[in-house]
Amino acid sequence: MSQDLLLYDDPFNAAWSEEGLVIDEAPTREVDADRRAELGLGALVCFVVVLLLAMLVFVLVQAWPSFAHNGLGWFGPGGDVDTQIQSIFTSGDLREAYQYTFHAWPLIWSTILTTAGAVVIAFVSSLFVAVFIVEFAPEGLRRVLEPVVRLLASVPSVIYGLVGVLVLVPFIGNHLISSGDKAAVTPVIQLSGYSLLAAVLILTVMIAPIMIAVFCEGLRSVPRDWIEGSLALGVNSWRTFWKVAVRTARPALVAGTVLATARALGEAVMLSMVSGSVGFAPNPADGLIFFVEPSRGLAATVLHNTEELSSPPMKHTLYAIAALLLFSSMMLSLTGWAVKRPMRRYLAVGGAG
Amino acid sequence: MSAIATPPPSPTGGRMTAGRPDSSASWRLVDRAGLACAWTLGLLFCVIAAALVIYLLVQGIRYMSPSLLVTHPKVGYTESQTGGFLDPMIGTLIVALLARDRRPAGHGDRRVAL
Repeated sequence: MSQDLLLYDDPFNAAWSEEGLVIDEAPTREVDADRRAELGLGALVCFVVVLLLAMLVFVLVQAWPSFAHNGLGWFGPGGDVDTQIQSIFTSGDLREAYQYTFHAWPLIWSTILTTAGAVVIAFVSSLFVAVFIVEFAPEGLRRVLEPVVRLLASVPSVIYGLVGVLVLVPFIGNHLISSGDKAAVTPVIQLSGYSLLAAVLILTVMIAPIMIAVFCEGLRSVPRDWIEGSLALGVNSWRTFWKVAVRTARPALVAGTVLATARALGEAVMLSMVSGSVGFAPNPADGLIFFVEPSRGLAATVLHNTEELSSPPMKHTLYAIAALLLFSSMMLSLTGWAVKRPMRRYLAVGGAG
Repeated sequence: MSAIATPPPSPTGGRMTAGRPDSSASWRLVDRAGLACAWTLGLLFCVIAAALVIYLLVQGIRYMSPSLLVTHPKVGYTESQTGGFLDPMIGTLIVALLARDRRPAGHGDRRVAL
């Protein structure tokens, strides 16, 4: 080896002598600054972790009376959830014996339906759009699409909600629900266009730009050699991109999906505006009416009842809902991490991620 | 640091189809359907964004006047009595400025190759 092999700016003043590589261990000023930055960042990370743990403990402590009273029944069906919420609020407001009976299944089911529906539709469409932007769109269209994606990602959710209420909900109410359907379910619920379908469609438009942005970054970081290797074997460019680039970028696909799912889980404002804000569990056995039945998710329920926090049992119940949302987000992150683990071999060779 | 190097820019902009005739006419039907789907969805996103902006512009412009931007909100019963939305605008601006660049460290950094 010779000194020519030392290509780095060497902060340790390493030098080659007859005895071999000699390193001056006294750190330079640059290393000191790096060390200080490391310590500062480490302290910041510890502070954030402590803050998160404190928040988690606080929410769980506040939520405990609701969970303790209902046990596992908290997560199951039973009775009208809106009536239960009203009883909980009234019992605290009138200083009566606190009422905690709460069965959150309709809210959980609504959250699962809206989130899963939006994530599935958004994943498929975002993957196609990302592939199109990165590889197949003409230069002019690509220049338009990238700002369009950024624009859609930055639109506040209340504006999506407003457009949903003014455009989509009346359209569904007037064109997709017949008078016969409305009359058939009137004793149970009212079909007015505020529905699961409106919620899923708007949520899809809201979360797709997040997915597209992350997917595009992942697809762009796939080594070009791999793609060119496939092309050299005579595989067409669509199949090459699909089989090589998309497969390599799977960790980025997982990361984008986790981020978008987290946003969908926590979305409250838009969902409370367009989903109907009724504690009702849409039933797939109802046929096509299922899609136009109203509902209300967990986050929207918290938003809907924030003015009732003065009632102690209501406060504990809302904290219990918040705890479930927090737990879901944590599980989502853990699942994303677990799914990405077997894909790390791609990262080791400079793939997407 | 001299050890960090970025790859040289590709003459085709890094895209395999740029500058290369790769006609989809010879592709399998499923590949052509996939490409058509990608085109459709890409254009659909443009249409959604355009529709959103145009709809809000058309609906909002009817009620907009320059005075709304520079007057404070007031208590009143009719639209002409309730003033503008200068204060909410300032509030939004302050929140946006405070939140500016408060993103996770490393977010948005370009990957570099050693």
